[in-house]
Amino acid sequence: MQHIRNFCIIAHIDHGKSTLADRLLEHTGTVTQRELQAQLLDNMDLERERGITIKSHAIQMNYELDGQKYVFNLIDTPGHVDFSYEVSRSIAACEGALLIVDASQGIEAQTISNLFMALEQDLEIIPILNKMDLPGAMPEEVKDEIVDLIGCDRDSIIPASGKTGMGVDNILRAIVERVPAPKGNPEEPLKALVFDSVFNPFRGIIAYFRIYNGQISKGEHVKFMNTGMTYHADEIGVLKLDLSPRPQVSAGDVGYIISGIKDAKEVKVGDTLTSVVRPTLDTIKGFEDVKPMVFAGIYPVDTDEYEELRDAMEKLQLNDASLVFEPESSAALGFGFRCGFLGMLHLEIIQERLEREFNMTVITTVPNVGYLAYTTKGDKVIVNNPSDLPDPDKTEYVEEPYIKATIITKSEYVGSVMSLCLDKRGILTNQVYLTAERVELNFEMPLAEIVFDFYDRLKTISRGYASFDYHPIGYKESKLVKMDILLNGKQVDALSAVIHRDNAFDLGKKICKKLKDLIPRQQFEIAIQAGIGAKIIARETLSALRKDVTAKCYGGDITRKRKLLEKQKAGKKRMRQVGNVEIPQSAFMAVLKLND
Amino acid sequence: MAPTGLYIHIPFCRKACHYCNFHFSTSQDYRQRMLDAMIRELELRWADWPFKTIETIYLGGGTPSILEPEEWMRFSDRLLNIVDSSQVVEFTLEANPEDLQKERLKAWTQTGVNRLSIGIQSLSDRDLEHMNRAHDSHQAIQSVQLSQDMGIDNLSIDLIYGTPWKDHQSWEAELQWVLDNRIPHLSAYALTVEEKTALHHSIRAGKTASPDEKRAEEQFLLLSQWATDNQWDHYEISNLCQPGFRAQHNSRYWDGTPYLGIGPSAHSYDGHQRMWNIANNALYMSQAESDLSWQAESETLNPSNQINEMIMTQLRLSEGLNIATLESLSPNWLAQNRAFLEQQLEMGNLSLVDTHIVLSTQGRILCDFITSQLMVSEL
Repeated sequence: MQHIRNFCIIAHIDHGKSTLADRLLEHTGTVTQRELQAQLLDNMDLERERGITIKSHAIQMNYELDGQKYVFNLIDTPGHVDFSYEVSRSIAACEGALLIVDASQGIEAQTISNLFMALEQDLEIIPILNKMDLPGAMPEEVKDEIVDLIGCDRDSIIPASGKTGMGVDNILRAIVERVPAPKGNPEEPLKALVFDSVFNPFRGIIAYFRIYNGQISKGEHVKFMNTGMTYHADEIGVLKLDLSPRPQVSAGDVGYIISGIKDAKEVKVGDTLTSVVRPTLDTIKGFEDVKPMVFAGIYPVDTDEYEELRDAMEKLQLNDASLVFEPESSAALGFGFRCGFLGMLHLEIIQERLEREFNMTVITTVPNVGYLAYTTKGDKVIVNNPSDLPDPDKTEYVEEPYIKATIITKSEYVGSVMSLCLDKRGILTNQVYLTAERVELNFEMPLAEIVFDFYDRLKTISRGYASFDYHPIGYKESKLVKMDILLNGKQVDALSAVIHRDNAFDLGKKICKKLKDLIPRQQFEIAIQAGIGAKIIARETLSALRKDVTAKCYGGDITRKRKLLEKQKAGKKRMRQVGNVEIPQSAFMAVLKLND
Repeated sequence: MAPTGLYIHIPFCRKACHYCNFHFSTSQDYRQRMLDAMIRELELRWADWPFKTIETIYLGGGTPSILEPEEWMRFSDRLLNIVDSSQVVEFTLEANPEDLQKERLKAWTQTGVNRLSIGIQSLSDRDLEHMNRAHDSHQAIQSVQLSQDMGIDNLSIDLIYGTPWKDHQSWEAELQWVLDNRIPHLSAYALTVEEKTALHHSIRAGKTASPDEKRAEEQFLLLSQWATDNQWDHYEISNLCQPGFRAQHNSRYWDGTPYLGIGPSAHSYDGHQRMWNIANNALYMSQAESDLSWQAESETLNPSNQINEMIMTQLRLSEGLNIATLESLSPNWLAQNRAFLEQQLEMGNLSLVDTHIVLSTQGRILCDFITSQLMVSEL
């Protein structure tokens, strides 16, 4: 156990985490040059393309230093706020963390929140200044930021470059010398932390764990303490480039277990794995049932594909237990699912995976957060779909989830970031200058406000020089109303949204305008209205289609024109009908793009 | 073997008309080289073309009338040496008013041209100037008279309506002029803003007003009424004639009969496949000279493509869309479209004549909308 080192990496997107990790794998001979594919750990196409980590991964390396052989377990964690619970569990499985900071960018908001999680767990932090090869590197300024933040010795910061390989040996040495060896007793009852699981279509669920005490053997009868489920360990082993089976894995080490589990829901991240025969007495602290933060309806574009969509969602859930869904139906969209996501990125990922891995074309409705409505009768109603909000006269008050937002930006953008956040109903709670150039701002604001085009606007106003992170801080009462959209007097349920009363007129007007652009003209006039209860607050009129005819149709026009009309036909097939009005898919996401 | 049409594309123009998106060049430097390349293409393709009886020849462009009389004589000689023109009933040449001079007209008639399609476009000088045409209204009027004097009575003229500079009164006056001059065929086009044209650019830059839909619609109604009042045959949305004077070559595009197209950007159709040539003069010439393919692309029509083409072209015609033929190709078509058809019938956009769906004047204005509704998805 003295020769095991468990560590994770904390870094902001694009700060070079994956490239540096690839270097470590290469230097320790874990992978050969030939096997080395850029971003080895991010093996989902989506991860490679976007340069992000969605799932946690683990990989074991062997390293020799001063005649001693060491085993390194690198646990790679997602970087995005949507997955902060997974990150906290991966951190809990380690004794050390590499803090990678881009020498040309400095520390970002996401890094700070993950870093604090690591500090809370008493991890040894090894600060690394990456991308030193870049001409824009500002090592001294960024070192100042790091020293300010973690109070480390300036000389302990390792300059490195994933690209050139600079500093890699120093990092490996530091892992041996600075990261403490795991503590634990192999003789005690088995106590292991489950920090992630993946679904393999042939082998079922593969759960990753870190053993604190005891050991696990192949064939052992084991139990997941929070779910109470017991299984036989069909296969156990350690995580090399591939799964590497072992007869036994002992305290301090990181490994995997395959036990015939078919459903990701049975394996919960953060659960404690123990032995049925000789169970541990205490579960590992910090276990949570992850709760979705953002909800949206997902409907098949082709109404005939409802069953296929259900299959696809179920398969995705095998792999991603944080995805929740239940059937719902909408007058406008037909049969689909109300889905809960960890956040907006998670929503996008699910949507993309449905399209890529399952070849489904779906309509996603405007996302909303979960509200709590308190009725005059004293009941509490959970509202995950705007349509479920009780009538105003039956509602005592409504609460919405709030977050604490952390934004780090350059000082020149503080003004615009501030006005954006205030515009989004934020309240400034703190403002700290990290350096003369960089400022950290803290706001309390409604989660709902960041669901609607917050990231894009933040990026635009700061020209990309703002990083953003948040965590939920509970529910607060708000003046919320349900705004309905009516087309020729018929309500389009899928377009209803819960909004703040003070924004209603402005938003109503914008949505009606946007819909006027998105709905194609039809053979009759269409009234587009926004209403709260019985009161209409905005209206636009889409005039009837007057003229739609091509003047010239000769030899050279036939193919081009036929294709154009066939395309229109296909587009129409995908439209949804409410009353007599046909609505294109794009309209259902209109609210998200009001500022385009 | 079915008879065929032959289309020859002359890709040169004196000036670029602001609304035109057909393929042409205003550079005249390599005219002979181009004509040689086209003859080469015709030689090679005619050998393989399955339909040997030519019924119609159409010289389009560009501006075929731009060719000098001797240039035309040489070119048409070579052309008619390759193909057999003994069965040709209609030999049309597109001409611009400024080119209509005695020598040219003589050369054309000598070689068998028996129909002219004259690009009059408008009788208003302001209109013509805005379109960047090379002629004025005086030349336009003269060109018709001279053609008739020289013995070509089978004339078609092009007019454009719905322009920002044409009011209803001048439109009616132009139509009256067509009658007064005993012109038997008229192609009347609503001004359309095509992409990659000077007009499109000018509208986007805010220098020219967008064509007013309401004005175009009203002028189409005037046109239609004019045809009814004068017993003209409004046989295609943009084509009208005195009875018996339908354009035979152009009708091939709407009734699905074959045609062979020669020259850059020209399209061909053999009943199964559509093929089109490279729309770049320099590239076309160098390909043809090296005996490489001048073809840009081809498309083999699958059953649903064929049905959709039929719906698209037949709905433009006064005979309308033959449901019986359509049902034999796609048996559920009527059942799938009955509700829509009944609705359009009620709205007065179409009527049923025997087994044909015929668009009303009002329906013709919505032709594309109705067409795309009735099209079939992949079979």
